[in-house]
Amino acid sequence: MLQRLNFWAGGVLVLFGAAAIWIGGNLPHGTLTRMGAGFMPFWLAVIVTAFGFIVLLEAFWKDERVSIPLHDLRPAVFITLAIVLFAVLIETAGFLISAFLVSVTATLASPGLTWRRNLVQSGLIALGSAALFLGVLQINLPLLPR
Amino acid sequence: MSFFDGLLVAMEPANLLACFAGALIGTFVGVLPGLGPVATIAMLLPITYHLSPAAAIVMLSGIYYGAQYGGSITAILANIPGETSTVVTCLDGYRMAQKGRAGVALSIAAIGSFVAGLFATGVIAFVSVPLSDLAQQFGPAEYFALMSLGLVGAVVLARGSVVKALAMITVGLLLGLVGTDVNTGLQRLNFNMPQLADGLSFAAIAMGVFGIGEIFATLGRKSAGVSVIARIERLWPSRADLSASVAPIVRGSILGSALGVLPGGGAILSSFASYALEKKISRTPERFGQGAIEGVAGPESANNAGAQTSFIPLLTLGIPANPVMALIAGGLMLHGITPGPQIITEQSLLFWTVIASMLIGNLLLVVINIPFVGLWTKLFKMPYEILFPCIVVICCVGTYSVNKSSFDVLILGLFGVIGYALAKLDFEVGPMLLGLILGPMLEENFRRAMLLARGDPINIITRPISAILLTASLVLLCVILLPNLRRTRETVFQEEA
Repeated sequence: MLQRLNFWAGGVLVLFGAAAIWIGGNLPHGTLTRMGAGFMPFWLAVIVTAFGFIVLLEAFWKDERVSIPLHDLRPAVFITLAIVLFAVLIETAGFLISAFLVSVTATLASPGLTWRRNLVQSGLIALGSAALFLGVLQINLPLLPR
Repeated sequence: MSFFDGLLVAMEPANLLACFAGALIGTFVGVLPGLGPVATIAMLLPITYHLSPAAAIVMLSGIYYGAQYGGSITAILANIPGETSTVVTCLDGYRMAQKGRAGVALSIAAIGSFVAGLFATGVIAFVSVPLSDLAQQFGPAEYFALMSLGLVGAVVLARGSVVKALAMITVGLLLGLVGTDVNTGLQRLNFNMPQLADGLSFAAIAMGVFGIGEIFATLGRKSAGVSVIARIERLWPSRADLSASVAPIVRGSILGSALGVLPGGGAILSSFASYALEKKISRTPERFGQGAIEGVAGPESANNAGAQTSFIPLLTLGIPANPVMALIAGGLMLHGITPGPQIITEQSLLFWTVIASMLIGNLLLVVINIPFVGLWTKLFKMPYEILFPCIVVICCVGTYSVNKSSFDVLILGLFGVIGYALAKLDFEVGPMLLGLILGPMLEENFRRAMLLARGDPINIITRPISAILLTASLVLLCVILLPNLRRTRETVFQEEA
């Protein structure tokens, strides 16, 4: 059962719906004429939960399996890391360094590239994106660390 | 304001450049297999924030119809659909290429797309004004009904489980409500985070689930190896080819224009429908799949026409018909323009500029495509290891630049992971995005409608226009759930996969 696709899909929906109901629990519902802030979120969350249960039911007769091969996790980890890195760095490290490090980290997601190629490629991407964003598009961001 | 005012503005250097850039980028992503128009428009959405509203929408729409041209290049030459909407072009286009008629197939595709583009532009120009006049009379109840229809329509094109697609729409609607409630000023579902007071950043979510999510998916797939690219010998079609293609191009233009307007419609639906139509009315259906030129001319015209007329519901009613239109609606909102019937009256110059730019864009695309087709096939071999770090950098910088907010960048990362997980669980993110953009509007209209009806839900059902629209969505829903159609839908999408 634990490997069945719809078991997880339905479970996620039910959890999401239940969480939304819980988080929005203290919002006023109001009446049908004058709806409060909590009315729509509550009912939408109820609908999501209901759909979740239907999908859960499907898990019983549709035996599709989820598979997450290990080589799938490598891109997910490195690219997410790269994005978080950008969020942390951009306020202080300036555009060039941030873009360079983001590119280096992201490139690690693809196995089989040499470090030298990664660094050269990332340097070019950093320079190119700086030219595009700060030069052509005139976006006001500091190029170098403050 | 008229078409010609729009044409004048569209000819201004900045807008002309935006149109050219859009067409060029569109062809580019159409050719590249790992990058589609949805991901690209999502990526460039924040960048257009730094352009004028007209230039922004001109460029974004250029990407969408430009991708239809580009997608056909790889479909014909390498049997790889650069876009989902060019899947059917592979069937006969690649066969033609194998028989040494690649150049002819490419030219017919470009000519068909061009004719269809002109036709669709005309349709938009003539249909939009009356339609928006009609929509001006809509009250909140009608709007609520119309949006329901639009959302149900979004399910038609979702592959796989209907229930899951409906669930994704609802999830999107719910996510759209995060932030400040406009009626009461209360903060909702925001975990007491002030960064969420304005709601979740649409650009960040769109880029996360489409841009970043697509990288995960592409890197996860084992590379299929380099495919053989057919040589181009003869570029211009013979007189016989042309006369065989005239009728399919005309039919494809009309069919595509009609299907593009439907909720859930657009390029993909149009090309599939056109192929089916051509095969059905052909006196020699057995030639299809063996390199029939009609099988290229029809769908290629239809997908371009459909891509363009899917702007009609967005520009006249404010309802995005497909994920690309949801993104363009997001682009309008970034510039403080609410999509809806008032666009034609209040932003009339913008409206006509966008329409006129489609005319120019289609002309540019023929110039970009036919003579330089050799160049585009070289690009096709561009290694993904260079492409994807660029996408990551563009997504990060783009997200950050809209609000100068690191928080939005984290949202981008979060939704990249969420998009990946959803894809693994067989959920489609397109319907979620439609829900996200329509969530606040749907709630607003529902609340106003109920207030006007003094809390009586029967009132929404008994108003004639909203009754028709709600019945239509109900019928549509039943039709989708019918086992018979479900099976056809599945086979259609299996052919695609």
